Amino acid sequence: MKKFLSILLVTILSVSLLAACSSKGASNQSADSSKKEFSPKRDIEIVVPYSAGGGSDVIARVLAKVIKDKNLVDQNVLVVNKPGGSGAIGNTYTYSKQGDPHTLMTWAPGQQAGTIINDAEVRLEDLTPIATMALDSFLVAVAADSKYDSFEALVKAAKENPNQVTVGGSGIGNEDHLLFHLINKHYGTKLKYVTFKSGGETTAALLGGHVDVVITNPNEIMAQIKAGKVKALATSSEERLGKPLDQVPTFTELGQPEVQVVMFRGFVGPPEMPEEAVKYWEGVLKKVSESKAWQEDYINKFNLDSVYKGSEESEKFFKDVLDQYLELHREIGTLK
Amino acid sequence: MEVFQFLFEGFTVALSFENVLAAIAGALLGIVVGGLPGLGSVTGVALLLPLTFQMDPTTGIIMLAGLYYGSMYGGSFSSILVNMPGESSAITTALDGYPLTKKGLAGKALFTSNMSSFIGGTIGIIILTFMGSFLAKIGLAFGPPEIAAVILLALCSIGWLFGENPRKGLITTFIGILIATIGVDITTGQPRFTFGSMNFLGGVSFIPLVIGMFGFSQIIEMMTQKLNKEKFNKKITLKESMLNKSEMKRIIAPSIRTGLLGSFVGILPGAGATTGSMFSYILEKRVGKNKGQMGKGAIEGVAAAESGNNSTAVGAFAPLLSLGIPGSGTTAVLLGGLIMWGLQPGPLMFQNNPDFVWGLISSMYIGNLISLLASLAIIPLLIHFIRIPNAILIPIITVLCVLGAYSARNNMFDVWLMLAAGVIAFLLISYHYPIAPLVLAFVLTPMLETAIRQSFSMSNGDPSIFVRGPITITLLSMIVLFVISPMIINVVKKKKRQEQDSDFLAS
Repeated sequence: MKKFLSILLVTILSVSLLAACSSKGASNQSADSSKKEFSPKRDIEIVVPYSAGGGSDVIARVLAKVIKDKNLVDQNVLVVNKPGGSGAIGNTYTYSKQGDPHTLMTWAPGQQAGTIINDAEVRLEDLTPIATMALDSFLVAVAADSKYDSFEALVKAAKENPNQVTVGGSGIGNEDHLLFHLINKHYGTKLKYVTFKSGGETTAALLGGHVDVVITNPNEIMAQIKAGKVKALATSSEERLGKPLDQVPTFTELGQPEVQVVMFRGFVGPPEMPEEAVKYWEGVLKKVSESKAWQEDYINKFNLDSVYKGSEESEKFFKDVLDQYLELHREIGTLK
Repeated sequence: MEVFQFLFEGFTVALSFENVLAAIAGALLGIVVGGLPGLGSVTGVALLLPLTFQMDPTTGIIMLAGLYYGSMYGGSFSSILVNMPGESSAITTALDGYPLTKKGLAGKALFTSNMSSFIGGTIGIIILTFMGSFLAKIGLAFGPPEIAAVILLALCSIGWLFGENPRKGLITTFIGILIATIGVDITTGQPRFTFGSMNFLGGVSFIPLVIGMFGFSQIIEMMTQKLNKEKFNKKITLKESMLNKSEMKRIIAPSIRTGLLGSFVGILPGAGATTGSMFSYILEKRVGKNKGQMGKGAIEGVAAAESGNNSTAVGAFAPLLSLGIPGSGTTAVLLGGLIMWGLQPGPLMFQNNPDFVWGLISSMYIGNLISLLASLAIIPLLIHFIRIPNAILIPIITVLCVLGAYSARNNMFDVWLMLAAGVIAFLLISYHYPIAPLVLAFVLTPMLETAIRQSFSMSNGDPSIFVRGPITITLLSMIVLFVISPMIINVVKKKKRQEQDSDFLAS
């Protein structure tokens, strides 16, 4: 019995040790750049610099699934969560894989703005942009029985009662808070921001009547809208969204096209990723983006806008979005 | 009754061959995931999620739900045996479970833990079946001011955990609060006490802290004290591990009490199984018959903690299924899974996908039973574990501590944090400073702070928001009563004594 137990324990230990180490394994060996065509030689790692269950985690896991189902890469694709430091821990980890063609990382606006605001070491210019895959928008929504029937009514009430109309959101400096700031700035309102920890808690607060308004992604609130518990008053998207949100006016229609915060989901690689590897991943991600599975399982289910931008285009796009974010952060005082 | 009809239909779904298999697989995986420190239910569900995409959604969720509550069973094993919570919600289990092991009663502690997990889980499932959507709506009435009052009420009772020296307990409580203030301040978005380190931006991470404070400090103590395990060496038989009739009686009342409380906590926004088991332990420490022994190795303590965390885990499904709002970290991951399966968790799910919802609920009855049987079957194997000599056991636990701390966030920094927490906790324990209040304060005070500051931003700084409705008023009056009642009792007692004294003198 004792012998059996010790064998069992040793097996468990060695397996778990291996599992923990495999992610650290051969990291720094870059593929021989003499070859023109790149093909992956070992497991692919998609780094998610946030915890499981969030937006970055979802895109990484759907991507891994589509790649596997379509057999686009003949190696295993692993999703590795490295949360902490508003993405900085994951960024640093990816940075440490200099020249490695087998590592990708999810990239989002809050993540890149966070590197500047928190004065982190690894920033956008240190990494290799690969692709942009989707755009997200924001809805301004109220409870179905709210006295605010339209965005105009909300603006009017907020002007008449400064600091009385409360808006729930996911945190100071997050995308929804930047949009909140732009609404106050351009409509001359004084709405009051209340921070919650997650989209779920924000929705609960709206349904419970603890806040008057929420600013959130369509995905977070869609179920409530379909059930008639919540109504959307405005959308930050450029064009109107699809059904059942086709009656919701955009800010351009509401007279303030400046109220716009771009929310994208993309991928980057480690610094000095070989050019042919960047080409390879651009190709894979483009195929994913065009696949039916991706459009259905990701874009439609999460109410997103499908886009595809390759490496060069994404580099400029990321930079532009970053500049907009930093300007907004200076205005609200989270960046000095 | 309509519910019975739905439940019956649900059972026909849940009892299909593949769904029973999924429930068994999920529960067994959960026990393993829960048993390994650092690998918690959130990670477990996230890892399993992509693998279930090939399955029918109902089968998939049955497996994931099985993993979730199976982990609540497994989490208690290492808590009891080596004082290292395998799952953060099993911290409170260690408070009494490990002392029981030291007394040579590991088998009884494990048995209690499994039985009360089952009782708590079953209560949670019954409540979910019959009152789920109703309670979820009540949960919505708990906004920031109400949550603040609930946590304050729990914190008022933290003093019960101070042990012999209240001053020392108070000091560790404040250390817990201090550590909890590290990280980004949620109301202003500014980093607080992070000393410029990216690793502290999200706060001191909980899992490495707990593994260090409980598990690693234990290792240091074993090494320095050269604790010999002679008394553990006597053979523990399965028969001795069974609870006798009077012991069963002792755990039933606490299990039911905390099962009800836990189900309710699960429904509250933002409160997970860890909070549920802490509230339950505090409640039992306050009202239980054997409260004096709690913390020193009372089966009631194990029962309260385990029944509490299982029922909270189940309770968290009520807002998820009937409103589409996740009540805890794990259910948030599940929500993502539901969307990927093409379901829309929300107010319409009971109408649009009754097969799915009722299949899941029915499967919980089955999965809970399977978890119980599997956990009971493991006990004989587990009690061998503590008979391993220290020279072998200590290195193994050390490796587990390191792995657990690393794997929670895949971050080496957390390993250093775990080691530091272990050393600090060892020093504190050596000087008889209790650790439990520190960990409790670390978990509960940030929730209190958040809720209070949210309330103030809702009301523009007007404190009257804390007495805005019947819920807060009731809770606050209970707090006042709790604080004042000991004083009044003291005064009354004193008076009585004086009267007696004067009577005595007069006679």
